[in-house]
Amino acid sequence: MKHQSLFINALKHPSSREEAFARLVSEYKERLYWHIRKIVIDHDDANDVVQNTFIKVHLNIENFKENSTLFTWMYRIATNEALNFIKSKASKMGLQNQEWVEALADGLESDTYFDGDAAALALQKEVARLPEKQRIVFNMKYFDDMNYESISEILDTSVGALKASYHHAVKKIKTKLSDEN
Amino acid sequence: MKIKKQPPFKVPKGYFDTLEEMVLDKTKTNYNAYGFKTPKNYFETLEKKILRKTTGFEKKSKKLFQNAFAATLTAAACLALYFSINTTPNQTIISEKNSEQAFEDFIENYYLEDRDSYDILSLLEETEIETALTFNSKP
Repeated sequence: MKHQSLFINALKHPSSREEAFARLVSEYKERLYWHIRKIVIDHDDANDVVQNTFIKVHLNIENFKENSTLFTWMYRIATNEALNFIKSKASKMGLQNQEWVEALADGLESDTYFDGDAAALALQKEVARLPEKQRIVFNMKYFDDMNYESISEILDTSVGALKASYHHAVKKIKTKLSDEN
Repeated sequence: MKIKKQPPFKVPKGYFDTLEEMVLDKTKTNYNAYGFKTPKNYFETLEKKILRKTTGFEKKSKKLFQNAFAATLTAAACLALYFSINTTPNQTIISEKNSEQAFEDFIENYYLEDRDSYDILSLLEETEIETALTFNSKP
């Protein structure tokens, strides 16, 4: 915790900010990218959102009150940015968020940056059909193996509600995939 | 009897150079949902792009907000002038120091409202987006 405070101070101080921010980007770029990519699905969209997330972190670091860890704060920004992006894209296309995400997942077969097998593809399509919050919880728990406490901080949701969300998501996916086989 | 201070065990040549890499490889969590890929060397270029943009964007966005704030401030000053003429003629409307503080408050509140950054981008002129925040579709 002390180490984090020192690092945050370095991020806030103009003389050390540039170097500290470069370290921050280096440390978190892949994690944030994959977190965002699983939400927005398309690589080009994830590329836009991850860059925008870091820009927002850079602009807001002085307002960071350290009520949470830097890690969860950045994940929260990334999640909000990704969801805002979907909202913005879907509304421009005259679609609901869910419809937009499902359409992206349906197009994965022809996506240059997706090389999953039939099982991976079927799983992604079913994940896309989950309600927004369940989808994010499922991604964070199943693919990233994050603990409920961290997810709870990032999504500002109780651990109990998250467990229920994950349980429902797994149940739905299992049922759908077993019906298909 | 002479005891050797050096341990009798040996390691393969260059072992410690590769150990760190091996351990990090094994402990690295795979954050990718399997199936998704990125273009070759994507993460190497991403870092440079972000660092380049954070410097440029900060200056540009501050300028943009400053312009918006200046317009708001002018309108507020006109109103204040109108009321000051009718009430207290000797009162200073807005000092430079106050205006700086007010600008900082404006910026802080703006972000606290958690505006959609894509809405912010829509406020920028096309040329400003090109120079300040080049969102390349391809990395």
